[in-house]
This record gives sequence, structure tokens and C-alpha cells, in this order.
Amino acid sequence: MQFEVLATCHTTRARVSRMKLAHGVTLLPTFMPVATQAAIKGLTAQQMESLGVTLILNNTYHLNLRPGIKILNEIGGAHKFQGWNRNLLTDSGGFQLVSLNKFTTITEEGALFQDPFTGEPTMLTPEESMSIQHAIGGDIVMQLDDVVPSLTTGPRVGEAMQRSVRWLDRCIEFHQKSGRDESQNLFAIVQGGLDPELRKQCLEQMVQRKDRIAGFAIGGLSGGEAKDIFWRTIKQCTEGLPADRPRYAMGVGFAEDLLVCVALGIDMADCVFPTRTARFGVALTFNGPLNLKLKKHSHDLKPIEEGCPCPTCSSGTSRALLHHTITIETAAAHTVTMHNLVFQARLMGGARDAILAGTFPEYLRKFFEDYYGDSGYPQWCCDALKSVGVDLLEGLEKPKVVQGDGARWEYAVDQ
Amino acid sequence: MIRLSRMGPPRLTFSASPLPSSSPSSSHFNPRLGCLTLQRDDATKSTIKIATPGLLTTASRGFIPHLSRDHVNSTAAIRWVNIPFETFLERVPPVPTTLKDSLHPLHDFFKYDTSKHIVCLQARDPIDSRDMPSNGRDHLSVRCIRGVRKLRISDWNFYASSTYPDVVVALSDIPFTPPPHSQKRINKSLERSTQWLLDSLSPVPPNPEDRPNLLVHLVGGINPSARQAFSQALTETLFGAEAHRVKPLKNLDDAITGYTFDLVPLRKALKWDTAADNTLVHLIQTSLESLPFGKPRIVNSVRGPQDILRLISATGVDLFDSQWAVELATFGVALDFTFPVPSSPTGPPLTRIRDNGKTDIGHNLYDGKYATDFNRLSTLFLDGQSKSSTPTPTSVTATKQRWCPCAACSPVSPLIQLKHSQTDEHVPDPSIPLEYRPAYTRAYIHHLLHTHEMSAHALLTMHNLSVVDHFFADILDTLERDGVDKFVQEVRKFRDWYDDDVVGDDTEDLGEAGEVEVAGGILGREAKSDWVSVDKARGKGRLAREKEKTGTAVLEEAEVV
Repeated sequence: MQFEVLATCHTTRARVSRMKLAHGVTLLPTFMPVATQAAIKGLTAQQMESLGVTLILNNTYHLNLRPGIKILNEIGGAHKFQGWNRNLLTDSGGFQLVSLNKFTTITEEGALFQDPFTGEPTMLTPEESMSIQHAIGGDIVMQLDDVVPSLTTGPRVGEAMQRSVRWLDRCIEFHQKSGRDESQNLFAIVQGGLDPELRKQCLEQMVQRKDRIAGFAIGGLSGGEAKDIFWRTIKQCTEGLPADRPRYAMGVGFAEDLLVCVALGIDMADCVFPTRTARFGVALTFNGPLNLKLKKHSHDLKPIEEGCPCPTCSSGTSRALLHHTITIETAAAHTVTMHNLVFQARLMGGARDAILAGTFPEYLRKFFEDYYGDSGYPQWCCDALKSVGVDLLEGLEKPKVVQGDGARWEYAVDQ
Repeated sequence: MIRLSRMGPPRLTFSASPLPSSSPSSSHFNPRLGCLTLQRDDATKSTIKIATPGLLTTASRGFIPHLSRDHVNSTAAIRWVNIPFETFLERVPPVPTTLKDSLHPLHDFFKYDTSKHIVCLQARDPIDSRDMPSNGRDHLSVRCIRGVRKLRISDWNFYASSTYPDVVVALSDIPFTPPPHSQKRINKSLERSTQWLLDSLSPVPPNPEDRPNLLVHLVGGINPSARQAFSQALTETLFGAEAHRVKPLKNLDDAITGYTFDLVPLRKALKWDTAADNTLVHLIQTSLESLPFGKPRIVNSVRGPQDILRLISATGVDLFDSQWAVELATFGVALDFTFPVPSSPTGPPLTRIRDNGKTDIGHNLYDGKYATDFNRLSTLFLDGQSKSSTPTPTSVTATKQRWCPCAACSPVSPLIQLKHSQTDEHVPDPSIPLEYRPAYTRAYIHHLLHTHEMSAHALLTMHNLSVVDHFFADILDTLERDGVDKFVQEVRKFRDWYDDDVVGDDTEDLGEAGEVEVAGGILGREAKSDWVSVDKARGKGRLAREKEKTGTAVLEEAEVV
């Protein structure tokens, strides 16, 4: 990997970097769409490429079950299997072991889980995870970590963090011995739950191993924790991570979360949100999400968002047509999915341009005004951005601020 | 009346040349070669040509199933799009009627390309076989997502005029109440259909070029004399009040561009019919007998290639819908057949041969044997990469070895890549020629099908439409080069070679629930059943349930964990 920071924001911790991997260049900060089963829902690899996406994510756990390593090895990896010739990141499979399997037990050796096919106890070790990810062939591979649900408290959190560090060593060892470390780049995952002390210890230990690690991810968040704790944890981690390595916030996908993370120094993020929400009829815009199922869109001949370059908006596909078809025709889901992915890409692309131009604070203010001006600024966003020198409310008369998560939804209330 | 478009309707012309044959039957029903041409008088001056016999596509709620707009535009097989209107009656006013400033409201609303696509408006979905309440004197029963609605005849005429379709199908009173239908009901159907046609025509614009392109269902159910009577009424010279209403027309047929048949209601009724000689071919012939030769004959809801070949051979039909091929894509089938039947095929394994000695028309990609099959979708069609280095991905060229231009077999590097910031480096260099990417493999589509990934259906739909398009190109080619007699021989060979028995007997092609049966014979039925079981298998414990079915093959994969 070649990683180069091109510019940093004069006020916040945001930065623009150029990351060159085996399948091309990806500019950071970026959002990574999730192709869980080796396909972005409903789209082809060529369509994804035409949207200007250069880095997607595959899930190791799922690809290991199907098509399985034997098939991936035969065809020569997941890139060839899905016809994708840009960059690819694979997770370690650890998260799904915990989220999808009730009976997973973690031992020092690895994660012991019930094989979903046979029901037999099976072990996923750090070495095994690496080996599977080598077969998949992602340009970025993730260490196996000991994942605990975000809201877990007590000694288990510390134990999981320490084990994640030990597993990282085993992953590094196996990865370097395999000789795959030339083309595939291993990322560590900082754990430690919501406890600043544990995060601090984890950061220290992992950063010590920096020379053998291509980048760092922040795990254990986006699991229902309070937003106030979320941003503080992100901030603590980005401050503790080295500047010459990319930083990846796992499972982050809401527009406001992404921009806050970028301002705190995050370079990469992934989430199923934009693609999943598209299938449920929600289109993302800079004025907030639109629920296309609402009757108020039934005769609206405007596109989802004027000026959006996505194939859906640039062809003039109307909200009315999408209202008529969404959740009924698969093609409507594809149409909104393309728009939502372009929205995410524009959001991050806009951030890159603003950071380069030295106008990122203005970009943040403009985004939040358009997105939340009517419904109220989330308190946590104001706090998070203030901590890096941007006051969203500056100069506003009687700004409306709301507590809580502040996710802005066009609720499914029909007029 | 159906008003003229604000530009005048596009000019739809059809030329058909009869082909001589040695058979004693009338050349009126011989296979024929033709060309449908649509010319727009607007600023684009575009011309769309469809060589016939050819295919048309039918939209569902306005979308070609599974295809996003870019895929529709890159699929050259899509030239004619039927748009059933009934679902838009869910909202008042129907939204496609509200594009006040548009010259092409349907194209603009549904995002079809006026230079590529002929859009044909019709009231009902021609594949919907479900029973319906009876129609009335002034209304047709139609179906929306929330149930049955009454479509008033006058409303339809307004909708059809305010949406300026390229082609419009006149409303006809075709009963969808459970068969059999009484003589009285059939008489009523004839009377109403004629009356509704008069209503839609009146008053007739004096200039023939201002009249809409109108298709008419040839009605009469499965009663040959009723069919004959309806057709004759179209060409009879009108008198009195009727003649006055449609002045200057001498007869109704003068205002008709072409004839259309929906096979679903006919098959439904034939199922109840015991007269053995009453076949689809016979019914269609009866309707066409007294009508002029030179107008296009269009058939909706055919059930596969055998059905198509039979209707071309015996009735000279020009355009066929391709819903059956899209449906097979939904059920995970990749079509892989040719006309004439393949002589000495080489390349990846051919389709399966059944116990009846007949060959499948495609691959059921749900089948476990495709899990490790890294070949392109069709054995009989080259993919873009193996074909050549200079791509012309939008057309089926007449190379010796067939190739499939679809986005699954011949994906190309995207022409446009969006740029999201000044720093983006991935913008393609326009000076670099299009490059074919490797074809998507059967193994990949197999994987997508078993993981419920919708991309499978998008890829298969484009592929199947392209294979069907090639099938028609080959029919045309055979007719042109070798004549009707040779064509008929090849049709016989095709019938003996391919397993596509759903239409083997006119009375057997409706399932228990009155649903239209899937095309593709045993293959289609197997694929549908696999599709159903994978769909049902969703949710917790699903992998374990599948393991029971597939046994050790899956176990091996799982051991890697």
C-alpha cells in the first residue's frame, strides 16, 4: 500500500489522502459500499464502477459459507468471481460469528461456533481467518478480533480487548509468513468497548505494532451506544492513531455520522445503511432522507435530488415513478440504490474538495444547515464538531437543537 | 375519442412480404418477413425499425422487470415496450397523465428513449390470468395493488389521449370471469368491443396522419364463428349513425394499425373446451382470414420458442412478447438454445438432455452442478471477450459464431465514471476503446441465486432477452435465405430437439390455480420449484435445511471454516 496525506484541514482533524492498492487508487476520506455476498444489491460490478466507486467491502463469513474457499481458489479470488477490478476490503468474519450465531464461544484459540450447515462445533482461529481472507484476495484484510456487543460492560470488555491484541499478533505472524502481505494489507481493529481506559491501552499496544500494520480500524462501535459516547470514542482513537496510516470507522454510514467522523480524522467507513434503506424506499438527499413510499410523493415529478449526477436523477426519474414502484419492483430498488451510493460518494467527495480548498468548516456548516436546519441540529454533532473547532450554531439566530440521536427521518406517517 | 398527439402521432408503418411455400394452405398464414418502422416528426426525427418476426417486451408498473434504466438502454433487444396502465389507477389522477408540458409523456415519465423505444399503452397486463368481475357496458374491470377497479371507457379514452403513446391498444370486452362463456356473453363481448372501438375513434381526424396508431384485439373467445363475425364487422362498410360518427372512415379497419391477440384468456377458455380441433392456431387463423394481409399481427403471453415457431409457421404472426423469457430469468434460468438446432456444438457443456430424449432450452442455475461451472452463461453463444477485440456491444452482428451482447456475457468497462471530487483519478480516458471484461460465470450467478442477490435476475433478464432476440434474427435469416419449406423442416427439428412441452397441447398449459404455466418444459418447472424453495428457505436455520437436501456437497464447503 502507498498511503500519502495530501492535505489536512486547518481547523478540524480532517484530511485528504491518496491510498494506492493493488487494484488502483482510492481517495480518502471515502465511504465503502457493502457487497456482503459478492454483489451490491441488484447491481453489477460495471454499474458500481460507473458510479465512481473504487473500494467495496465483502464479508468473509458469508463468502466462506458460499461460494466457499474451494470455489474462490479455483476461480482466483473474489475479484474475478464478482467481476470487480477495483479495490476490495474483507472483514475478518468475527463480527458475524457473534451477530449471527447464538452459540459462539470465544476461547483463546479462536471462536468456537456452530457450523450453520452441519450444526457441528467449528473453530475460527485468527490464522484461519487470515487464510480465508487470502483466498478471497481482498486488497485490505482485517484481523480477527474478539467482538463483544457495544453495550457490554464489565471484565468481558477488557478481556476481549486484550485478546484482540493477542490475536492481532497471530494474524500478523500468519499474514507475513504467507507472503501475501505484499498485495494484501492487514488492518488492526482497536477494541475496548466504551471504556476510555481500555481504548487507551488497546491503542498503545496496537500502535506499538504499527510497522507491521497497514492501517487501523475502530471496532466495537455503531452498536446502539449513545452518540455522545460514540463520537468521544472515535475522537480518542483518531488522536491516538498514527497520522501515516489510514483510519477506518467500522459500521458508520449515516451522513451526519460520516462527516463528524471525517472531522475527527477518520478516512474510511462502511455500512449497509444506504443500500438497505434504498430497498425500503428511502432516498438520501442533502436536505434529509425522503421516504418515497409516502403519498405526498405520488404526483411529484421532480427527481430525488436536483443536480445529482447519479443515473437516476440525471435521467430525471421522478419521485412519482419511484413511489409507484418502490418495494414492489426490484428495478426500483436498484434505481434508488444507485442514487444512495452516489449520495454517499458525493458527500465524501465534497468533503475531500473542501478539505483541499481549506473550506471544510464551511462545508460542515452548510451540510448541517441543509440537512438539519428545519428539524433541529443534533446536540451531539454540535458538541463533536465544537471539540475540533467548528461551531455549527455560530451566527445563527435561535438555532434549534435537539437531543438524542438526531437521525432525521421522514417518518412513515402519510398525510 | 383518442385525440391526436400535440405533434401528431409518430408514423408507424409496416411492410410484410409473403413468402412462397409448397404447402397447399393459404399464403395468408405463411410465415412472412416484415419491418415495423416508427418515424417521429419531432425535433429528433428519429426512426425505430423492428424487423419481424421479432420480439416485444412488457413492463411491470412501467419497469422492465429487474432492469434499471442503464440496463434497459444497453439491451438492444428492447425496442417495443408494452405499458399496462391499470396499476396507475391506484391514484387519481393517474400520474402518467399529469405531464402537461411533455411531448412524449410516457417516454419522459418511464424514461424510455424516444430514439430507441416504441411505447405501447394498453389497459391491462396481458399475462394476468386471474379471474375478474365481469365488465360492464361502460367499464372494464382492471386490477390495481389494492384490488379491482372499474375503468370507464370515457376515462380510458382520455388517459390514452393525454399520454400520447406511440401506439395504443383499443379497449375490448374480453371476459375474465371463469369460463365457459355463454353464447350470449360472447355476443355481448363482440357488441361492446365494436362499440368501444367506435367511441375511441369518434370523431376521426380528417387527415389520416393525425390518427393514432391503434391496435385492436381480435375478439370472439374460442367460438370460431364469433371470431369470424368480429373480424368481418371491422371491414364491413359502415352505414347510418355509425358511419356518421366515424366520418370519413368507410369501415373500422381503416383506422386500425394492427391486430393483437392475448393468449391467456384463450388458453383459459380452451381448457374448458372439449372440441379437439379447436386450437389456438385455428382461432387466430379464423380471425385473420377476412382481414388485410399487410397489417402487423401481435401476440402477447406466448409460452416459449415452440409456441412462437408454431404461430409463425401457421399464422404469420409478426411480433411476440417475451415475458416468458423474463420469467425464466426470475426463476434462475439462463437460456441457451438456437434456431436451427445446433449441429456440432463445441465449447462448454450443453444443456441437459431429459429422459424423453429432448434437450433443455437453458440452464437452471439453481442446480448444484453449476456451483463450480466457470463457463459463460450460454454454450452456444460466445461472450464478448472470446468473440473479438473490437466491441459493438449494442447489436447482434451476423457473425458465423453467435455471440451474446448482454451485460452478463459481454460486460464492458463503463463509458462514464462519475467523479466525486477534483482529486478523483479514476475517470476513464475516452481515447481508450471499449474493453470487454470477462463474462459473468454460471458459478457466480448460481451463488447469487442461492444468496437471494437480485443482481442474478438483472443479469439473466438481459441475457435471456438477448438470446430471444437472436432467436428471432435466426428465424428471419432462415426464412430469408432458405425459404418457407426449409424453415418448416427446421421448426420440426426444433420441436423434436428441444424440451419445451408446455405448449405441446393447447389444453394443458394452465396450472391448477389457473396460473399461466412457466415456459421451458421440465427445466422451467424445476427452476420454478427451486426458486420457490430457496425463497421459502429464508431465515434462521436455512443453511441447515439446505444441507439436508444437498447432502455432502455442501458439507465439504463448510469444512473449510
